[in-house]
Amino acid sequence: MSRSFCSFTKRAVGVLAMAMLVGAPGLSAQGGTITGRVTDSGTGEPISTAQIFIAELNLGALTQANGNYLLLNVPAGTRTLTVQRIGFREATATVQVAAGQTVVRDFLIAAAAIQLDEVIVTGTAGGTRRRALGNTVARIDAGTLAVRPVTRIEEAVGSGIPGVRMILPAGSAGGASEIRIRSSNSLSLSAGPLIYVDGIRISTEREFASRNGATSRLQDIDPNSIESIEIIKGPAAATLYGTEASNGVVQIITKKGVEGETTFEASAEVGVNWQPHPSENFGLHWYRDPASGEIVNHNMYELLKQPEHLGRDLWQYGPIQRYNLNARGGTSLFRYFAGISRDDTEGYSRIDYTESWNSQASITVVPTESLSFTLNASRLAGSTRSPEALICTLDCFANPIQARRVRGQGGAADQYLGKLRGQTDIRFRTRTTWSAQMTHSLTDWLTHRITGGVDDSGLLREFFVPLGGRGFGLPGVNVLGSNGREGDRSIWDIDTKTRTVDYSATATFSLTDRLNSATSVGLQYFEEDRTQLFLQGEEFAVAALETVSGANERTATENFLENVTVGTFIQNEFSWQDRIFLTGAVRFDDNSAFGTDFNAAVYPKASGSWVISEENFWGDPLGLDELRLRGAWGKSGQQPDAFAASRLYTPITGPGQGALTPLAIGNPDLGPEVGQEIELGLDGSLLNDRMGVEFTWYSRVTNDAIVAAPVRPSIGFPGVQLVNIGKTSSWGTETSINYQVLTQNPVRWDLSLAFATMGNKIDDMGGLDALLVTATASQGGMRARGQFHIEGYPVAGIFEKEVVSADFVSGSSGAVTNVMCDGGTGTRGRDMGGSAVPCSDAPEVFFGPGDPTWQVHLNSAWTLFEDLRLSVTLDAQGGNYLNGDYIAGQNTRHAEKTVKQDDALWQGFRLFSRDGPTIYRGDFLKLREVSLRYTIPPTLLGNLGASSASIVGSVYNIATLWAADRETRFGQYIWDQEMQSPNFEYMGQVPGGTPPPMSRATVRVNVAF
Amino acid sequence: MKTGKNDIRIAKERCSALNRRLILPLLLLALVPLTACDELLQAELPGQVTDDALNAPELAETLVAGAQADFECGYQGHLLGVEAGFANIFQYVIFQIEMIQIANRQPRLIEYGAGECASNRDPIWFIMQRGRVQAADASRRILEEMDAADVEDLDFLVAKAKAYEGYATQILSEAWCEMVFDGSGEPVTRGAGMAQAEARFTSALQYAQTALAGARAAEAQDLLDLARVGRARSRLNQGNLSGAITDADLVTPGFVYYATYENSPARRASMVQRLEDGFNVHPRDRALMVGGVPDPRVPVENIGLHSSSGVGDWWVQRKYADDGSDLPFASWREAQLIIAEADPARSVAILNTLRSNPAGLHSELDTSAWPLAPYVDAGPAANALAVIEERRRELYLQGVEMGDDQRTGNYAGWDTGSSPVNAPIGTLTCLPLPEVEFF
Repeated sequence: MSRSFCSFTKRAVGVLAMAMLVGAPGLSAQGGTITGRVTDSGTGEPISTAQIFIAELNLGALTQANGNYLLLNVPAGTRTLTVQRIGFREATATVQVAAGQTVVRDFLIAAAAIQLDEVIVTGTAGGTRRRALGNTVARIDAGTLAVRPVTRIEEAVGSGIPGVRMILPAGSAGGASEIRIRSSNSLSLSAGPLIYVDGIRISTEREFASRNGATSRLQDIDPNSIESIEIIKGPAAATLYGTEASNGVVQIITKKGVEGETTFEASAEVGVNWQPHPSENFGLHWYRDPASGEIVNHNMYELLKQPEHLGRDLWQYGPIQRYNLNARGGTSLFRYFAGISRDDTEGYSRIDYTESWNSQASITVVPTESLSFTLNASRLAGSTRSPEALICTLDCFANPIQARRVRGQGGAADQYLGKLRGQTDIRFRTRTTWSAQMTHSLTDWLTHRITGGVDDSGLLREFFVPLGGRGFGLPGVNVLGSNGREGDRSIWDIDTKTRTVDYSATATFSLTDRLNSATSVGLQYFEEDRTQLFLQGEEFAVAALETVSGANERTATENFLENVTVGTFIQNEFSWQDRIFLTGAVRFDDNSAFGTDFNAAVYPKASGSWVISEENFWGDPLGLDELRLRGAWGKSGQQPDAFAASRLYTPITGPGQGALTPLAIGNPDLGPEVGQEIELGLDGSLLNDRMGVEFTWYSRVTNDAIVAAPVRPSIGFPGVQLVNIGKTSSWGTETSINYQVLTQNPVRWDLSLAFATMGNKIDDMGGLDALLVTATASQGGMRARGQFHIEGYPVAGIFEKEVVSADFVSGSSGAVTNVMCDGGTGTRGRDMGGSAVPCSDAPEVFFGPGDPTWQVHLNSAWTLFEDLRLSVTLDAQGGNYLNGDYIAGQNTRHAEKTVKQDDALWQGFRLFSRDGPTIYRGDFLKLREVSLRYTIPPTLLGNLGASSASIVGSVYNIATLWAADRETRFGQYIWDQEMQSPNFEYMGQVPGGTPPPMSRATVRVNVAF
Repeated sequence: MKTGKNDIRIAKERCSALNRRLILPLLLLALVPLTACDELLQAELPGQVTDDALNAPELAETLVAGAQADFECGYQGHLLGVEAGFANIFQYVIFQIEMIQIANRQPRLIEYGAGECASNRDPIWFIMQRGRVQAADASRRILEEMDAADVEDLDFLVAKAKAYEGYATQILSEAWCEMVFDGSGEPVTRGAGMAQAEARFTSALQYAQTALAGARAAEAQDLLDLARVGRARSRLNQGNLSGAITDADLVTPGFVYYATYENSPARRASMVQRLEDGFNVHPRDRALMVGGVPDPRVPVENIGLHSSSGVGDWWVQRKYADDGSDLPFASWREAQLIIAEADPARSVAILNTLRSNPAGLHSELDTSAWPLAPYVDAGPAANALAVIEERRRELYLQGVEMGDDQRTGNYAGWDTGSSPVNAPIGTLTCLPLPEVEFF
């Protein structure tokens, strides 16, 4: 055991013993009372189960859930009070105790720079202390969540953890966002991590592949219910999670009951969402003035404000209301937690909103010291409405001249109103998650645990356009498509159930006095069923009809998909004097998606950790207080969709009877792609434990990468065939530094910096020259624009023909000739800088990667007089390129002879490279968040009966301070570098109609009783 | 040497330690076989059918229906992408680059989508190939995988599948510069493709002939005529004029065969609607006259300003009413025109027969204008040109334009220079095979 841990444990046992004695009758003596509260100096949150003791008296107590403590019968005199808790730096204070009097002494204690004895959930029974892990695991606890205006878990994990990125949600209430960990490695499969809640894997696949209507299921997880989040970043760490874990694992641990009196926590939050820079975003549209013949631009946003158009501002400040109430407490036998949350948020489009009720409950029963049962349940019910096609009114409008027609004549105002009034599209979300866990220590050396649970998520989408809605009653206006059908009622009912059973057992024994061993085995069963019903009715005879059965043309489909994984593992961990750890493990998996000719997958791992600073020879060099060296190597997998291996036919409506048509060619040899990663790093603390440093280097190779190889069309099967022919590599570094710059009142200053570099490359594509990036089948299978997988270049790089010259045809009105493009150079002829060739013969040349290659997160927090805390967060990332198709939509795609006709190069791009002019760099620096928290002093709370209270005001997504490109090369305004399509696994695509991210300002009041 | 108590204790401890060390590996050994337990891994997919389930005799009719549905999907795509787009029956006037790439005939820029019927991605190569493969697969399964005694109407079903396979092969061979089969990666000449189409029609004729004695005699007679028109077309394109005449002469007067469509679901709809959306009728086909009156065989209309593009003078076709209109692809009239082309001595008589007799016209055409003004003999050369022009009008939007232009080498009606959207038009006269065929 480590010296510090042993020392701490011994002292804690002594203190606890004394605490019991203090409460014993007959031992009272004349003395005073010391009381107070222990809070985290970084977050201001109360700290429970901290040890408070007076060493010389062997007198002590534990803090309760609200951070309060009480020491009775303290002999009068000058006493040194000490506070200790794992993960925090020790604090002491001297108090003067007088007989019969009460002394109040509060403590602000700072988190330890590194937390080696923190227990991490690793997949084995009982978890593992961080010091034994050979890999990095990021952790966020409830205290951090409580002080940040986090509305969804993506915000919590996507900012501040090096190597973890949040792909920002589309700018609408309830818009879909994504989490990405390290670099993309897969060419054709999902890039998102697995999400576990209390050991139960849940489905968070986003639904519906429309640019502004994708529905995120990550938002189902209520941040108020979270005790901690752990992020396992790659194959080296995720081996025990098996065949779908190579993109990392996010473990969410919800709040549980704690021993002690019942405490209540309540919060209320109000605020607004808004669209920053609407005039600039939706401003520039070019057109040729019919009167003057000049090319001019007009501002669509300002135009629509005019009385003859819309007559009001397009957007609003969307109100936010969120409330939460929870209670927890318990005894040594029975503990409970219960909470309920309400979210009611509107976006800026006036129609988008998300609302939900979220409730959680947890019961823990500990009948004996060796046996415990925990039952968790949560329930969500809510609904979301997207801004639908409103954004596209502004950025996709085909013809500026037509757009300028005044209201009633089919211009943009009519289009907008038609969409606003003529269509509703609402998604009703439900989710029920149950999990139960039993942990049992059979003997002092054998512990086992079984976890089981079900996650059931439902999504009901109701879409409705009334008779006449498509045209909004205006001649020549057809705002929702041109198929001429009148009225549409569509209903999707999607139900996804996952079932998880996870058993693991760990046996520990000592091989010698210094060498210990822990052997773990486990079995995991995971099943996912997905049922999708679709009903559609089109063409209503009269306007009163609104149901599917009331429509003339009716369609109904039902789909069912099932996928099963079964895996087992064995792991052995050796520890030498609790400071050198060697771990080896292997996991065996089989999955129903694997081909019949593929045997079970095998994933081995090995890791080592050395707390070198606890060696006797350690002499505190360079001021290093603690230092741990670590390394890990391991494999994990990524599986294709269920039934990807099978050759399938699907039913269709045939000529007068049912028929079948080829659906998927399948591949009986298909197996998972296997990521193999090596990770080396160190954790250290210095400057008297005021600075913590974590550094990690990793390198990953994905062998047997699944390539969605196009099927030769003359075979007669559509789409692609998944084959294990690819190879990719990725690498990166992750650094995080936490520094308590000032540690004493009246000003404390905490700085945290997270910095990551990342990159990837396609080493082999099995002979394919270029593979266009497409969305996965579940995301609609749509094709990206100008984004390819090409051997020798990054995964999902941005490629496009680069026009270098063009000439107008003499006497024509805009026709161009001699359009020449960059012919490419480099070993693969795809690098820019080649000689000019006719564009018809030119390759798409490489602009840059779609995924960022670096990210920086900086947080600075000042605490004034213990009560006031100001936090400022900056986020930056870059190295990537984006294809701003939403800009192309404004000025390139539709408007024929009206735009930039006097620019031959532009016309050349229009013919050969529509997206070339609108590819831009993604580098930015944002002022992400400013928050101010005021902790109300206990003296002001006396009459309220509250034990603590605070007020937090925050502004989120405030401003882009710097961007490498503010405009495209043809002068078009770039809305926001963080805009992304929700449909693709990779960054880089921003299609037309994508709502830009929202800004947000809120005020939250937290009260505990 | 005696065993002492201490030794026993040590042995017990060692045994205990050994037990501790072995218990979990033994447990693992018990668990590992579970990963290979097929029952645990059993997953259901009730909405789709696996390949091996298709060999059941009771599915024979379903397989042929699938082949027909996929051919019909391919045929409407052919009309839109190949005939209207590439062969310039229409001009494309909305700037959407996918279609431009086909319509502008630029070498190396053409991309064929891999989408579905009614897709915006113009998967014209794939969907017709799928129709061909489906038809071939249906007849193969019926003949090779099923017990003949268990298949009802075997001859009829095989004849139908062979006929659709023949038409798909013929149409692909007419439009693409080369032909490739079944993912072989080895292209063959268009002539070789047409020869294979002819072989399929010959096979279809044999089975249809047998099927005439079966329960579905009337339908078999249609298949017989369908295969005769198809083989005549194939033979005409290959230069076997006497063979073409022989087949065409046997086609029942008034015969017309349709690819069938419905307005919904989308999979069953044609994309005729798109001919009113992004396309404009080519100027050479606007307001065609015959005998001083509008030619009813090429019904088009100027609808003025298009609502979303702002383009004026917008001409749309009126031959097909909507997406549910059936599209003819073989007829007695075509057979007659094949004879007229192959046998110049009969050309004038045939032209006048067709002008006086509306039998076999598309059912949605207005036939009240018949009889049309008769054709006046203008000499062999002019008559030959008249036959080609008559085919263009008689078979307007019936899928023969590409093959006719290839056969005659006459591309005079195809645009050159710049398109209405200022895109330069290339020099391709046939569609190149997609590169994906050679991956």
